[in-house]
Amino acid sequence: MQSLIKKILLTIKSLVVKIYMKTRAIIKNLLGKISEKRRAIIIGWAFIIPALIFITVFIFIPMIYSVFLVTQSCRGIVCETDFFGNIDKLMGDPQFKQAFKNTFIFFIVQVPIMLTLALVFAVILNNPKLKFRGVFRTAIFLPAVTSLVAYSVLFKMMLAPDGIVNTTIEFLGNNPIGEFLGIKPVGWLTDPFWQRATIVIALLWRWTGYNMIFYLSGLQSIDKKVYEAAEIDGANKLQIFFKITVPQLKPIILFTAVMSTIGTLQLFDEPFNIIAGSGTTVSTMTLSQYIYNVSFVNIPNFGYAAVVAYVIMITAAILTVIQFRLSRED
Amino acid sequence: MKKLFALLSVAVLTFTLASCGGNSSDFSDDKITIWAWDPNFNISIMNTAKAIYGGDVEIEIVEMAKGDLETKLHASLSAGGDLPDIVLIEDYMAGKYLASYPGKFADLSGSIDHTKFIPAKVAIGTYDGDQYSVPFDSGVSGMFIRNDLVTDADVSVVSGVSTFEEFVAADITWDDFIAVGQAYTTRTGEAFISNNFADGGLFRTILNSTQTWYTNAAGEFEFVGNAGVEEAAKTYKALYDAEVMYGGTSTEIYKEATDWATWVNPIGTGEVATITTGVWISGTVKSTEANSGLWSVMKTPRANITGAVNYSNLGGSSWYVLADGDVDESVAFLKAIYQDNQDDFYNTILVNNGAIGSLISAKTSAAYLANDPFFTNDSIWNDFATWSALIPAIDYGLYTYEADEAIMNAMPQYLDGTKTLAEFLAIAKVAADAKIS
Repeated sequence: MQSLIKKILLTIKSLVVKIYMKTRAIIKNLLGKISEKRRAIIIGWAFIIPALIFITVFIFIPMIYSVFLVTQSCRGIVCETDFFGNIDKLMGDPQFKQAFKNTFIFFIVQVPIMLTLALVFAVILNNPKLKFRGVFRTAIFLPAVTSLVAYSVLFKMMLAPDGIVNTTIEFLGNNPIGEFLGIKPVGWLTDPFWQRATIVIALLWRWTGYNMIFYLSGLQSIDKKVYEAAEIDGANKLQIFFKITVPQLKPIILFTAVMSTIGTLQLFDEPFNIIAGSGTTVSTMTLSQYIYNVSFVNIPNFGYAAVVAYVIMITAAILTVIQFRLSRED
Repeated sequence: MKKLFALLSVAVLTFTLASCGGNSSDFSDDKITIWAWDPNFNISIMNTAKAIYGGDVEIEIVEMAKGDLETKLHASLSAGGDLPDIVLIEDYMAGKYLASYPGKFADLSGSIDHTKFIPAKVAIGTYDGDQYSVPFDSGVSGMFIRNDLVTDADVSVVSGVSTFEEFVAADITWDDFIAVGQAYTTRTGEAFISNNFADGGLFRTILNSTQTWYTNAAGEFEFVGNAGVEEAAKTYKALYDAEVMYGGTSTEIYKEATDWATWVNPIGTGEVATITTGVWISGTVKSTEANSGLWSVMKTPRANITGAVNYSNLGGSSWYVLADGDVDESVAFLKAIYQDNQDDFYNTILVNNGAIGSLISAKTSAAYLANDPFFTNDSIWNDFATWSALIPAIDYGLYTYEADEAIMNAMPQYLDGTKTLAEFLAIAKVAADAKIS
């Protein structure tokens, strides 16, 4: 039995090898007739084509299809062509406006705090005199590799109305000083303001370390001599930070800013996993979440979802251009 | 080495391309695949059905969370993905699926005898004159109350009531409910009810009992001036505001829930003394065996407006057969169990799961008339069966959850007093209309 399988496998193998050799011979023969320059081009394309096929099927065709989708007004699989119907709807849609506003609030509040914190952590942890640097680096980076759902569930538990955070706050507030300062439990998952705060905290916790790693690697590449020269010239720590570190890190700061911008515009996981199902979602619904709702939660309207997706794309493009302009060397 | 690499790449490419062209394996494979949610209820009931039906056909029951199932069903129906042969759809959602995916669900008008089921239930699964559903459970509602925690003194605030027994037998209003809750919390400091104010479950229970729904006769959303919606909103606000003094601090009569788990957990622990919802919760109530004999069941409180009754409904769902699956086998299975009541199926699921079915003839069977020692009432299942026939019949239309979400999203501003009733309902109306336009 085993020998039979071996035999079959060997036959298949020799067959495949034969076919391979044959095709190679044919190709070689064909290529032999073509000029050197042409040959290089053909071989180059041959390498690219497999990847190109996949990109075409999974990215380019859907992209072109989405342009067509914009003209469709759908209810499930019942679609009718309505060229500007979806764009009209977008203009008068209060939910879209709310989602756009929420996304921008997250963007404006969260990205600057996160990048500043990441930069500060990176500079502190780059100091060779600091003990246990590795431990701190790992600890700050670790959230970026934890499972999103797992941390969402934990956040949800900790921030529940009678969870550990509120219990602690209640304990701290339960004395004259606490009462004077007005420390009392808040609706982390239910109050519109605190819902947003929860999302920002969760995002900071998860992504600060990730950005910090970029800055750390950027700091390694800054020439030590520049710092030595600055110190000899009598620059203080703050001056060194703003006059040397920040300008030298500019390309990396730009990169992280662009990535964070795009990431925030596409924000979906945290609002979906932490807030949705806990309270009303008005104040935390992002554009991506709205696309999800339009596509799968309410009656599916893929045409309208495509329009909202284009809004995200255009916004991201505009913001990226602005960021590039701002960081351009004068 | 080079050859080996070439061989490997060829193999990988062939495998990838082959798996791209593969068909979804769930279809027409002589195996009945079923999607449903809730392991203690629907899944467990379907397992009972599978055991009764015997081993001739392979039946695979797939459990998913309700929201996940609905999302996956939408995605698969509109984009073409894995689909089961039989799927459970909640009554509120049925119209939406039937209208949005014509031809995707099998028309069962000819194969299932729908006259054997409760007419209101059949109407929900009817679209364009064709019947698509195999009616399943009723969401008839009731108020479960702890007889060991609530005392005669608490309930005597209701006029004409002086003992707990009289209270359980009475037809109360939500005003009465709140008055008793205040008396209870004043005495004990504990919550009378657990409620998630961002969830529309209780809202729909109140609304259904007022014989109105989110829509007017033309199928358009009507919130402002809709007596049922306004009364349900007022009840939420009254519950929210009904604070009493206990131990010198103002205490709410409700325990705030933020999701299913925080809503359902206090039932077993005694942190809340009542729960008003569909009969399907009875399985959860009974799951804490230590509480046997401590629960009584009474009719649903009614809203304080004319036309409101003490009977209502929350949830309930039916089985639907996908047109592209193994239709004949699936229908034969559902028919034998749910229509022909093979081996007294409805008796078994009532005893095991507290499920009230929609088959009219099943209500005369033994289990419906028997006493359940867990509840102090004489025959609660018979009560529920009787009440289920008295639920106001309502056309839920296509957009129940759209309306529900719009109202719940606008509700916080009404609850905290920054918006009036009319203002908040007007905001909700705009949001709801935007969802469906």
